[in-house]
Amino acid sequence: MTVTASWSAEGDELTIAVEGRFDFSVHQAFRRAYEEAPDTPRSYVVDLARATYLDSSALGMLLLLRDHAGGDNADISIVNSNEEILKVLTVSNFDQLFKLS
Amino acid sequence: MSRQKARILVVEDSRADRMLLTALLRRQGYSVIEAADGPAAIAQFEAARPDLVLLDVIMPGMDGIEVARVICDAARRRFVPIIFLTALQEPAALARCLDAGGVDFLTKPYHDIILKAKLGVFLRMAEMQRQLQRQRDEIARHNERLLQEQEVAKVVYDKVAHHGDLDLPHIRYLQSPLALFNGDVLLAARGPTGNLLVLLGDFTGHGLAAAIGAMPLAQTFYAMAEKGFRLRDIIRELNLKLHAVLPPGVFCCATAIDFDSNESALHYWSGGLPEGVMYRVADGARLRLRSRHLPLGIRPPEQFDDRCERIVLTPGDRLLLWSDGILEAANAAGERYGEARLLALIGQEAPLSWFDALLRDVEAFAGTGDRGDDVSLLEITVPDPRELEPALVAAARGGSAEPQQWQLSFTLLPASLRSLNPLPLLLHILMEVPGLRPYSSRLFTALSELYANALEHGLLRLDSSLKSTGAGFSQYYAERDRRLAQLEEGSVVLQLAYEGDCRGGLLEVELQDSGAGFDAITTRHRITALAGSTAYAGRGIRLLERLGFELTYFPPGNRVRLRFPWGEWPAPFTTRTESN
Repeated sequence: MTVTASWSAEGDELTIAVEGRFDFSVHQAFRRAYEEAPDTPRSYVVDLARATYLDSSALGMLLLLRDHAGGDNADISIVNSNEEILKVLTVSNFDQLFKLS
Repeated sequence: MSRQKARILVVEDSRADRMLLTALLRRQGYSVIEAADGPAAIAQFEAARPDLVLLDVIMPGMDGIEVARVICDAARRRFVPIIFLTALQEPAALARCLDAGGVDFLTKPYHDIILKAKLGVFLRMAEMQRQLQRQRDEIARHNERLLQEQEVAKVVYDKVAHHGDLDLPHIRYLQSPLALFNGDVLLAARGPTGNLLVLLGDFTGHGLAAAIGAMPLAQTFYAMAEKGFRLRDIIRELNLKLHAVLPPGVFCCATAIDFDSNESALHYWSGGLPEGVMYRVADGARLRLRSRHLPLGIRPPEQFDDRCERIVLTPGDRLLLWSDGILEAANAAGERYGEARLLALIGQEAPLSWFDALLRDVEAFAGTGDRGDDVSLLEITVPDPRELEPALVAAARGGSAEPQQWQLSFTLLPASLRSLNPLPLLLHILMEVPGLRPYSSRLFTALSELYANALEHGLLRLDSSLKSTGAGFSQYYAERDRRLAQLEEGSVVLQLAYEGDCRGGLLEVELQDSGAGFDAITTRHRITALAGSTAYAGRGIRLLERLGFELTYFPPGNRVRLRFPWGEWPAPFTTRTESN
């Protein structure tokens, strides 16, 4: 699996980890990761530690997640991005919508 | 094969063997065609189109191997299994049969059960092959239709997106044909004051879904540019349109630039597109066009940030913009071209050769790899302002031969002074006036200048001498925004008065602000304005005088009137009517 979902011990945070290329090819898996979650988490973490690349369709997927998680009220962190991915996220000014680190 | 009897062609020179085999096959439910030698086999193969061939290897004249070659050739894309009939046991001879196109052998004497099993297997295989073929044909047909539809869509799209001004001599661009359907948009339009608006956009996603958003984008862009809206208004409207139309997750990364030749500066707004590079002749600097915003279509209108950056220009300055397609060109090892390579190249190359050098470098890098099908590359050389012909404003043609006479008064109060640009609206009304169309650009310039003066100097009391340095210019506009935001009272009243007919007319424009007037503000402004200094400030007024407008200021300097007569006016017959 290139997309895996896991819950925090407290059960209020859903972490979605993406491995390899974060592009259109994972969009089904990415969507399933949060749509099929049995509970509604308070916050989300998108872990890109093992992602190598991110394109504009991935940005779209992140926006869909944000929409799903409540739009302006969504609490989503994007963590462990490599330098190139962080560059794509910041050029798109996604720091205005997500917590980036 | 159960729906219809499979047809088997039996090729066997020995009559006894042929009859034996035919009887066996018929008993098993097959329909059988017989041939006693090679030429007959080939003829039957063409005529009866069997599903499978049983072929004797050793025959007088044309032997089985030769027949197999001819049959395979004739079958072309159709897969018809050939099973050789042979008493041979020698491996090399058997291998030769397979080389010639056979799929298997049956050794004499024939066993009922083996025969049945083998035919079953190969007929099923042939059926699978046919299904595959059918699907492949269907996909090919679909693909062809899709390409044809894209072709039509492209024609429509080109009309919408490219009736603009991309062919101006100072614009150079490359947009690979596939880029369009990968959601890249490239737009250019001249506004009525001689400004040039350019937008490079990249929609998320691929294919038609991405291209579709380009339609409202292009239409809004061109319609607003033509009516004289400036970058901030346009970009705000584009975001609003796309936000309303696009589903969540689809958006448009874009950089939009407004080249203002009157002001010798550009304003740009950039959200999400790779940051372009500008070469400044004045100091040889290479600047980046910073992406400070979220892409278009993400933010709802009330949260959208339409602030633009400003850069002072000198003719010869050069800008290069690209979408991420060029960065994604990959070499055979799958490594991408990337921004670092592009920036290194731009750092080394003379700005004059950026465009070609970049294309060469990407091609050399990609080699046999993926050159990136969706390349959009745009280069703009800042022209001498005099080279920029303003766009003609489309107007109502003809008009009544009867003389017309009307007045219009338009008062802007603080809330609207903050957010509404009244000029496109007024220009729109003026363009309904017959005969005024050829003067639209001059009038628009005049209205813009007078309105800016009334608002910025009259009402907001900004000191235009601030604008005499580049840094001051930014400070000036920051201060303008600040004061505008705090404005609680005051007004600007715009009055238009027209009389005329199809042969000519007279237009009077009067602007009055509720400020204290020139005399009460710095006298410096008035002096620069009226004495025509070479500083930035006051150039608005000089410009109007150069354009041949007659201006009258009324004390204390908060009211100005512009008179613009054209054509034959007053017309001789009007005077007569009056004297009657």
